[in-house]
Amino acid sequence: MIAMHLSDEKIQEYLDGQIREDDPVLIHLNNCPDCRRKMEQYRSLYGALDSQSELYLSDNFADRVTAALPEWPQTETVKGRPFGDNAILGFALLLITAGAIIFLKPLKLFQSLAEVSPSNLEPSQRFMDQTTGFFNFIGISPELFFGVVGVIAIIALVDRLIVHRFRRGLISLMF
Amino acid sequence: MTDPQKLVAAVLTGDRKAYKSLVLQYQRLVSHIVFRMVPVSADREDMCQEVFIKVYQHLSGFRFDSQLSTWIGRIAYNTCLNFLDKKKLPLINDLGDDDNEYIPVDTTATMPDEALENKELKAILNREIEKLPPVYRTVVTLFHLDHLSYDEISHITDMPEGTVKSYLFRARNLLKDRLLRQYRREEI
Repeated sequence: MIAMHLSDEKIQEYLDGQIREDDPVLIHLNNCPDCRRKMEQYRSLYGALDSQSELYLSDNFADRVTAALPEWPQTETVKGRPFGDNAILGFALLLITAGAIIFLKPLKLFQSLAEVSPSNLEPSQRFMDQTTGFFNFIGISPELFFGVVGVIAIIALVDRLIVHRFRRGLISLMF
Repeated sequence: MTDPQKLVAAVLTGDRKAYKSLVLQYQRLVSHIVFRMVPVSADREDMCQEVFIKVYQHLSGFRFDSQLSTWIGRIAYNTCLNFLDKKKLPLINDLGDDDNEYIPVDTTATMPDEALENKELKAILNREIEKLPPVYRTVVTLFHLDHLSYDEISHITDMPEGTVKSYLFRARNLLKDRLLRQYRREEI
């Protein structure tokens, strides 16, 4: 058994549930009227503190806070996208693939395949003719067009990754 | 909706009703911290509002590394610290041992539960709590009214657990002595 009286801290630790069942403190408490009296004083105080007056906010506090919320640009940006995330990703991948086809100039590959299988030449040749005709018509080179589109697609992909990580769009994160 | 993860996800989609639920769920904790830390009652509700605006603005950065409640509590505590710092108000130095010095504590006295249930004595307890330094008031309230653990209070206040325990023990020790003095004075 502990010979000295228990400190206030020890008694509070006991009342806070921090003392194990087999701790000598409990034996001392059972046998020492002075320490038991002090413990009862603290127990009364604990009871009073547990039932101290609540600190109330006004009834309409939650409404006031909600009404005072600032606009959340990043949320509007995400909500305002015309396509869903998957559509944007799919579109970006499609553009990158189309750009890669032009840059890699697979015509020769198609032609070599056509030598083995002449039926392949006609659709690939027709596709290239139509594509070249289109770009001649709009007056820019295919390399420039798909280069720009490719850069936009990469920015869109990075934007998606940033939105996923930070829940904010690239633009709102930068500014 | 009470699940913090669902609540946060809904708020991040711009759902203001979800945000109102979040405010309703955590306003008690925030008010306890703010009301105990900020001495001027006129500033308290505005301060609570400021806390919830900050929560809203920083919610997208919350990664659930801790409980949502302690994260919000920490924002409230830090907002109050900034307020006290700006107003140059003391945080822990004034223990308010003023007019009771001359009355010795009667260690044999008892504080009957019935007496403490008495409204008048509850009012005395509240007055004595108000006399404590802000940090003492806050840890006592978080422990006894919000039933937070030492560890949770430590997380909110960013103080070591040992410091939290020390403040809590000292605050209760002061309150016990002051109530005993007061009780004795009432008897006289």
